[in-house]
Amino acid sequence: MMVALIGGGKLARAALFLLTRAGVDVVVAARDPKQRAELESLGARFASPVEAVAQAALIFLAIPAPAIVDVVDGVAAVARGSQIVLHAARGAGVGFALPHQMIRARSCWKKIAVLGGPLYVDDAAAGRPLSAAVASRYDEAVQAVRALTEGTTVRISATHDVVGVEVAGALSNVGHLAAGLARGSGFGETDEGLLSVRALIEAQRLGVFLGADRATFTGLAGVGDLIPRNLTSTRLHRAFGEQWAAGEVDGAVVELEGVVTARQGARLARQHGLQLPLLCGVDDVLASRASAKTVLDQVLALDLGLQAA
Amino acid sequence: MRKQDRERILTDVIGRVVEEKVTTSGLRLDEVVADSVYHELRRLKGERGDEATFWHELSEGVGSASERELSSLVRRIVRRYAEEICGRFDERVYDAVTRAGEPVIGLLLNAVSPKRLIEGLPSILGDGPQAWLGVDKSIVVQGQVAQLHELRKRGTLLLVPTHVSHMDSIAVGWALWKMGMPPFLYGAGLNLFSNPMLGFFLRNLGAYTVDRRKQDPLYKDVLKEYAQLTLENDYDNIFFPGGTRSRTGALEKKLKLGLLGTGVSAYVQNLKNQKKKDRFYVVPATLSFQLVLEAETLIDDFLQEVGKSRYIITDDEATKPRRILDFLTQLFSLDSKIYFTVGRAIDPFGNDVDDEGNSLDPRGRVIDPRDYVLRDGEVTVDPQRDAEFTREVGERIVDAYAKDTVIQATHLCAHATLLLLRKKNPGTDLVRLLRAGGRVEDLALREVYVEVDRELGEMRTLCARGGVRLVPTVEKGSADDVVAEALRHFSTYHTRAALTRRGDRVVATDRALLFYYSNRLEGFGLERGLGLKPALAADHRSLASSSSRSS
Repeated sequence: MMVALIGGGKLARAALFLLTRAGVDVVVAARDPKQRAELESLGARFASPVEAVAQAALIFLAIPAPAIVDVVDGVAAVARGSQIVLHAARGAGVGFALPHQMIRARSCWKKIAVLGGPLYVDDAAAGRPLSAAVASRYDEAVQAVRALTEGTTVRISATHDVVGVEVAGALSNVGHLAAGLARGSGFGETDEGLLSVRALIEAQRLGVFLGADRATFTGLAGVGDLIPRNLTSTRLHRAFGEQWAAGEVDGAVVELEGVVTARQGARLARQHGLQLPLLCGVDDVLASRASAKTVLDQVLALDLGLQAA
Repeated sequence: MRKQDRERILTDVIGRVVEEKVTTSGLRLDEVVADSVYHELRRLKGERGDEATFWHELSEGVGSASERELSSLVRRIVRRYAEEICGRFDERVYDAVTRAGEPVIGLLLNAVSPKRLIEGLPSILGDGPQAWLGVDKSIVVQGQVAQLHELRKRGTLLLVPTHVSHMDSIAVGWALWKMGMPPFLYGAGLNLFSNPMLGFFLRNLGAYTVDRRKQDPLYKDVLKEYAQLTLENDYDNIFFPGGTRSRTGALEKKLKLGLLGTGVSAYVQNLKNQKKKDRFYVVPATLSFQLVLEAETLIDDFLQEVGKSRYIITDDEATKPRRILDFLTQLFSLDSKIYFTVGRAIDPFGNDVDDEGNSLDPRGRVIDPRDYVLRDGEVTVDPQRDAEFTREVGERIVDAYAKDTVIQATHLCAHATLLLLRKKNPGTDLVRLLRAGGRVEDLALREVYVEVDRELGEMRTLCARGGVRLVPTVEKGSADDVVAEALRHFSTYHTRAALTRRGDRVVATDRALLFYYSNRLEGFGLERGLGLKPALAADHRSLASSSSRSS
């Protein structure tokens, strides 16, 4: 099975490394020259996104959510219904459109799978096993991902709950933003723990509203994703939160996955009267409507509402 | 259906179902047979006659039968089911009927209630050809008719209309004839066949028999296989995906996907057989009535306690000739119209289809639908995949229903008045309001006009965006035109009018009926911003458990 790997970040590198070692034929589309150089050292064969997609049976979108629209628009003309699309985006787009919805709305692709859970690629580099949740409405897509990872150290746990895994991933980034803001504002580990739990509860609430299965959030893509603190996106969002709280981020618009997710999620919450205080609070802070300290103090004082959740 | 096809399809149905049960299913054959015997004897409960004898005889042999004897028993059961579904068929009648057209459809209408209707119709309609003009003018066919014609040449059609009444089958039959199309196959309830005249025409116009009382899973397999094989043999089919007449009057939101799924299965089979005309098109359609023949029974059934509501109703208005006559009289004399709206076709994967029958991606690019069932370049059978495609098709159909439904004056007026009654009786839950009434039971005509006007505004905006269709009065008339038309209709046919005007006030004289007609506007967001939930969503659970109808 020919795989088109789109993206050049750490996840793309890990995927290339694992797949090549397992003997899978991979063609890579990456723009950034520095990233290309790193991929080249792993033996990457490059092509344009269109060329890569045209020849592949499976397309792996190793890109963040805000990049999905442009990438899919660029290749939709050569997309085929037989192709399987695997993505690892952890965010939402305009109107809180989830990644699979953005892909569906712009292409003929239907067999879409999402990769979630604690994908700590450093473990893979050290030869330790990787765990991932793979969700697709189509068993065929999960089987294809299993076939690819056969003989690698990746352990797959499968579900049909695409919405659940995508929402869990998106909100985990918001949770880590909040944790970063807390650290940067002088809160302690206890408070960070409390914020993580709240982020998970809100993920579940929002997910169920959008049609997800409640159980997904206590699985690998939910709780399983809270524990490891060294995931690329986790580190990125924590660091960003910390810098923001310390006033080290300049006014430039940042389209980080968690920032966009918080903004769109807050809008959705207002529209439908959903109780998502942490998510809305993070959005208020990043839109400079409130200080991190004030917002987090308020959120931490709230009852977790475990009975209602 | 042509005679030579009938025999071949029958043989194939039996062959495939038996093959599946005996070789691939992995089920124990004695259990399959025992299951059938159990369900059928339970259904027949002490009845005597040919059917009961068949099952009793069969049950005696199961215990001691060898594997080979068991598979022959399975074959006998499957054959029995298959023959009942196909029904008897006379080619001469089919030819005569499909050639003759209009007068025969009139005969079909008569067949619903042979005696009274034949006696009654001439006086309503006058004699001779004039007689059929009434029906002809009463059914408006609109929407994607040209696309339907084009697609018929290029593939096999699955027409999937909304379903509120037994009049639907007749209206659809009439509409197809009006469009110059030959009859489609469709499954009609066994109870409709018990009427000798109607049964005769149904059978010969392409209806096959569906006995919804049969709970045997094997029966359902045979039924599905039959539908699939007729599709593979290029017979256009009609399915009512709601499964049964809408009890609430609302548009179908949850569909029965079983029969719908035969579309993608038949497509895969056609590709495997390398058939030339291999394409399938799913065509949503809506039917809209100003008044519904069985409204009283249907809403009454919905308002019954949980467990008492009936999946199959055998004693409703459709079985009472007098009611049918009244209904048709009303229809013709009030210049009331039945709207049959053909929606845009989709392929078996839920993609849009252009006028040439090509599947399109969301950007309008032509794509090859075959790709969806290829794996490593080969056409594959994958039930999980196909069930998922069918689910997507179901979602598209539900969207199409909302867009293409035609809102009539009765629907809008009922919605506006029920909404006002709910607002005027705060704190009274909907069930109580429907059953016992509220403190306020009548409304000033002018406040009704104001609410009707507001709802007209909302619906017209939606209509302009292509989100719904409206009849001319609702599209262009004033609020009092709409109310007058609704009141006129309500006053004619039903036992009690849903709404009655008394001087300058309007009284809800049958709140259950009011609820029924109001429900057609469920899901269009007319309650938004008023602090009320849509009526059906308001308190669904207690609605279903309310024990009696409003008095």
